Amino acid sequence: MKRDQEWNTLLQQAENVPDGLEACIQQAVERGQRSERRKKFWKPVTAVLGTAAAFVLLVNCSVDFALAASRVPIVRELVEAVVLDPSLKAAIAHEYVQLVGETYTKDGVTLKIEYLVADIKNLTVFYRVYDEKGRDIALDPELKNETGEGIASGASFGQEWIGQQDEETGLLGKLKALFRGGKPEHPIYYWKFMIEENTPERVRVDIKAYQAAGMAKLPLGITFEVPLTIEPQFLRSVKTFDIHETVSVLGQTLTIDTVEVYPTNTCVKWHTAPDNDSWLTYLPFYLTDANGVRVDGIMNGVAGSGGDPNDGVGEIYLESAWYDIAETLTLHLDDAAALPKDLPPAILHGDGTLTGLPSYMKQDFSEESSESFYDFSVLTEKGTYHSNTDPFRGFVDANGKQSGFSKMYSRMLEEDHLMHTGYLMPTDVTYPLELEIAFAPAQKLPQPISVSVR
Amino acid sequence: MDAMVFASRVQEIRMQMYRTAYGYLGNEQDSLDAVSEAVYQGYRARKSLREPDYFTTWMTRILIHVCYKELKRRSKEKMEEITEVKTEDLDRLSLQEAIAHLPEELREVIVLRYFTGLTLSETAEALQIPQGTVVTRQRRALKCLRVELEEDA
Repeated sequence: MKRDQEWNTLLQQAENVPDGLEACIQQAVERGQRSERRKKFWKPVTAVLGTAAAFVLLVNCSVDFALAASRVPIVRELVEAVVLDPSLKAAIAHEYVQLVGETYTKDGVTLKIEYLVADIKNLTVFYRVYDEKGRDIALDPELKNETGEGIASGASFGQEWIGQQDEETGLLGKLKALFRGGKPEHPIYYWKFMIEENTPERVRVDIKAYQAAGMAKLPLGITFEVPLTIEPQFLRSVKTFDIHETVSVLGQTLTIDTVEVYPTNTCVKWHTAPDNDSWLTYLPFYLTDANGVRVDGIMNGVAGSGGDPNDGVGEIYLESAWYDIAETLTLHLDDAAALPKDLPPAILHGDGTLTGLPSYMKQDFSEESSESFYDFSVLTEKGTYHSNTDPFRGFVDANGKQSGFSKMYSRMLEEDHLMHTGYLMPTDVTYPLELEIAFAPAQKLPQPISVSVR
Repeated sequence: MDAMVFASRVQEIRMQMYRTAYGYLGNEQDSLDAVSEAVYQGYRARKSLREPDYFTTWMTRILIHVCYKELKRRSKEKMEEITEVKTEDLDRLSLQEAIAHLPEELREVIVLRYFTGLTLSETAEALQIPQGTVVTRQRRALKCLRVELEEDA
């Protein structure tokens, strides 16, 4: 009995791709986006709610903001673009903005670079883009120096206009109500770059244009090369406070080296003692001034922390403490996480069982999902979870071969308040595997730390 | 990988993904559901993809995983396991059912090679097995299914 005809028929059936496939994929991506937005805005719930509520108050109550926004229409428009970025909002409210006003057009696509906000470590570029053919245009920027070398270590993009973001949380709906009149015809967006060394006076942004088709991005073969010259006064803007104060955090010696305040963020630099018995993996610093103004870690935009905590040296980024700050400024630390340096690895055995997990983690399930892979996952108590790290860093197999692995998924199980992280592991490695634990739960410090900055 | 790039890349391979799911699940609705779930899982995990060049095989692995789960769910629903059967028993089944009853190691090669349309080397990479093993399993699977195709590289 031969099945060649049946085989061909079956393959032909598989070729009959249903019309709804593209939409199905787009919906799945949108589902992922909604899920991420939920995660972004609700984890940790209290912190986000607190920040958002405080922000709504700031928007409504800040005199500088209100004056600037009502006086200068352009400023209001700019502030709409940065409404979720308190540091940029403050900079703009204080007219810390350089006018650019350059227009570039290629193949029907017009790019207008309107303004920039620059300091020694950061550059934000505000732009509009539109297309005479009515296509939705998406842009990918790359920041370079004059010789064409990339100079940004991180970037974030304010490409979603605020009015588009209120479906999931309801929170942003309140913010949206502040901006009446609907979406402008050519709204202003921004790119925010973090500069590796110091911001040079002359930079170039190479910008590739794409047609946005739903969530897809179709290349248009258009690249804009935009030279920008930054006014020198913006590049002298840093207030450096030498701290060099050593404190004990969860029994570990931590030295706070400097606090560097820039117009668009604040950087806390620290190092730990080599003879500490634990790594400090989570250090949520914040600042307060004599008037009770609080400056928290960056929640939107470029990464909230820098440096690998396991190097014993790190940088934490906070919002800017440049404006409206009283003379006295204090750095605080109320929580932290410490990961013992000698914490033994968890062991993943050939039958999928996972042993040696610390008490705050437990295995959810493990099963062979095919000959080549199997699935295992761990649960981490939500109350102790923070976003700084994954449960594991990598693994070493029985032959001593080191590998990293890709998480399959990470999701919050709302019903039982656990973070669920899943992994798909190849079975062709030599078991048992030693899994290096990366996560330590955050703890309230018995005695919160306060260090005078100035 | 940023969201826009992910969305673009996943649209590029949508037909390939659908055919993969169809090879496993054998009907349109379940295949669409599997693709949707895999795209969702991939989106959530996209930041863990360290080598963008491996996007296609990475997504394929996620999709296989989703399809496998669906097959397991079906077998539990029917209170039966998809058991391996002898070649002569496969003859009594439709080709689609016969593929579903192939041993997993043979089925995934058949699906990836003929439904997904991966090359030998891509199949080997997706399954993380040597190319020679792919060839051997492909030959065995086609023999079990009693399908005669020209050998290809």
